[in-house]
Amino acid sequence: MGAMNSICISFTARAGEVVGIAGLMGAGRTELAMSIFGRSYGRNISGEVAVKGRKADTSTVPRAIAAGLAYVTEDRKSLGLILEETIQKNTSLANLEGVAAHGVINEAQETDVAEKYRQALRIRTPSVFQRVMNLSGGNQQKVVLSKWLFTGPEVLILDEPTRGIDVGAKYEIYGIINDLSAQGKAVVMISSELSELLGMCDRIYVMNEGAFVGELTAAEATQERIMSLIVTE
Amino acid sequence: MNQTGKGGVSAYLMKHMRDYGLLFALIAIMVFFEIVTDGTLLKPVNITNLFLQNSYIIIMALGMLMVIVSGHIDLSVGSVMGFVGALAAVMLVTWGLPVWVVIPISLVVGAAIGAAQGYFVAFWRIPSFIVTLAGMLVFRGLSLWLLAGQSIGPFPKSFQALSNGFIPDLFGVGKPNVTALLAGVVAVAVLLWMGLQTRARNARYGIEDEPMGFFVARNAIVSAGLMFVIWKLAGFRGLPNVLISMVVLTVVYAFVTERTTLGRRVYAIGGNEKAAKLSGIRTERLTFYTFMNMGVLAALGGLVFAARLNTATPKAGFGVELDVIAAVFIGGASMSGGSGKIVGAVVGAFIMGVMNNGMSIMGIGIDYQQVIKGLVLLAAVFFDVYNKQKQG
Repeated sequence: MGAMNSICISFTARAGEVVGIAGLMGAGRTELAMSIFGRSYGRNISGEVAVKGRKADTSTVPRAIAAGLAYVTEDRKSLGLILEETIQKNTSLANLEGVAAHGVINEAQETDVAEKYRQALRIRTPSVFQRVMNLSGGNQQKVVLSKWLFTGPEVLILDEPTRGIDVGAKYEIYGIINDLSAQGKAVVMISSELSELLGMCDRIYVMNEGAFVGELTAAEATQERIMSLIVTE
Repeated sequence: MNQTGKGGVSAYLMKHMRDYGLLFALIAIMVFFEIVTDGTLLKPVNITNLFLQNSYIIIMALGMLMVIVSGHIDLSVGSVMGFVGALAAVMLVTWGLPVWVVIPISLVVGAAIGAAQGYFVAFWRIPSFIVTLAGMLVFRGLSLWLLAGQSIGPFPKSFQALSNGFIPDLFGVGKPNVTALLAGVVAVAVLLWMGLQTRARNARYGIEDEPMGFFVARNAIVSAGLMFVIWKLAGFRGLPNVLISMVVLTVVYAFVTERTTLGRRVYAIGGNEKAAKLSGIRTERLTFYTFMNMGVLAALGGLVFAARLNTATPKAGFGVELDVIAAVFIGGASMSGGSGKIVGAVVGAFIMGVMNNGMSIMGIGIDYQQVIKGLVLLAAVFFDVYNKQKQG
């Protein structure tokens, strides 16, 4: 799917499946994800992406979104959210056309959308007019998820979705991921927490130094096997 | 009706200090100068003059607000304004081209200049400060070269009308100008209707809204002020052409920035460019367009300015970029981008304009005027930062 330093990588995620990408920090997981999502990382990226068996153009972010991809960044504060803006405005950001007619935003509709996701994802806030900077990490992450769910994606790439989040919110996020796969979405989950991957994923790819070094099904994956793949390579 | 307690009202006031503060600052400054100039400030002639004098600043402040909201700055607008004014003068006087050819050509040249600068800022990521600083020098030099150090004028009547013309009274009364009065009444009605619409919507969604008393008081003050100005204008020569273009442009830009996907995306770029880009916003292209738009408005400002003076001088536009930028910051825009409003920028421009005008009537020297304007800018921005820190 993506290629870095002329290393080729290929993987699949099926509808309704949660696929994990395990690896140490700096293994190239985020770079892989960003390369797929609109070639947002580095230069000279080549490769092919197919969604639902059909070749998809993901050469720019808008095209990747149109192709049904969504990418929840690892760093939600600097790459995922506009902290000074409200929950409502952050929710609609990636799909403004969805709340607008002929380029004019229908604010009532926009509020409804934000309110819908606030309830669905249980974002704890007095109102959707609250600025995102005032929310806790877990609630901020839910706003990022709202934004991407509103684009109606087929494939969600979640980069460290539970980093810096308290335990309660973590389990809520796991619940959301399970709901998504139950709805038939393909979820690619990148995480440094092996226990999280082992608990959530149907399959796990192991990545090291920019390349895949193994693929394990949920049944065969254990922390030891993943670590030994990384270390021995 | 809103049954907010005393705490609610003062909390609301705290939160919206900036919006009210700006309005009251303008009123306070006007009242102050009205008193110290013995009523000269609000004479019909002077009010008309105020609009004519500041029209080009306001026109350019609209574009500058968008540039600043997107997280950039444009230092070249004064020079571009001067250059386009000079170019128009050469085309009109030296070459004898008709007005209807000169105006579109000038605007296209402005767009091209803005596009050239936007190209380097957006696609090569050169800081806008540097690109437009270069532009400022280049176009200042080019206007000197174009005019060869001379002033060019006068212009045909139809070109002067751009700035000095008035809308004739369609009802034939003349004084007071019924067209002007009618336009004022319509404007007030539209303002009130829009305010009530917003209130109704806020009530429906349970948004914390301004207390009813505030709403009534604010609208009463704004409406009364508007009608007062219109009444004065109607008693003189009616509505200046340039006032109409200013109002139309202000309404259009306010609508675009606050209501459209385009405006929302510009704010998003200023708020967090990387997040905007990863949300599918074409940040480079949009930044490019904001600079191109600024170029067109700077060209329009140059035409209006030249038309008012009836000559193009090599010194036209000197230091004007600073007035325009100051107006936008007094109007509450943030240096880091992502916030600021069109209406704020316009009010900011009027605050600067009234101070310029009032101090000139009082006979205060240009030296003190600069000092006072500088301090007002600092005070306005300090007030912003102080408020933000207090709110946390």
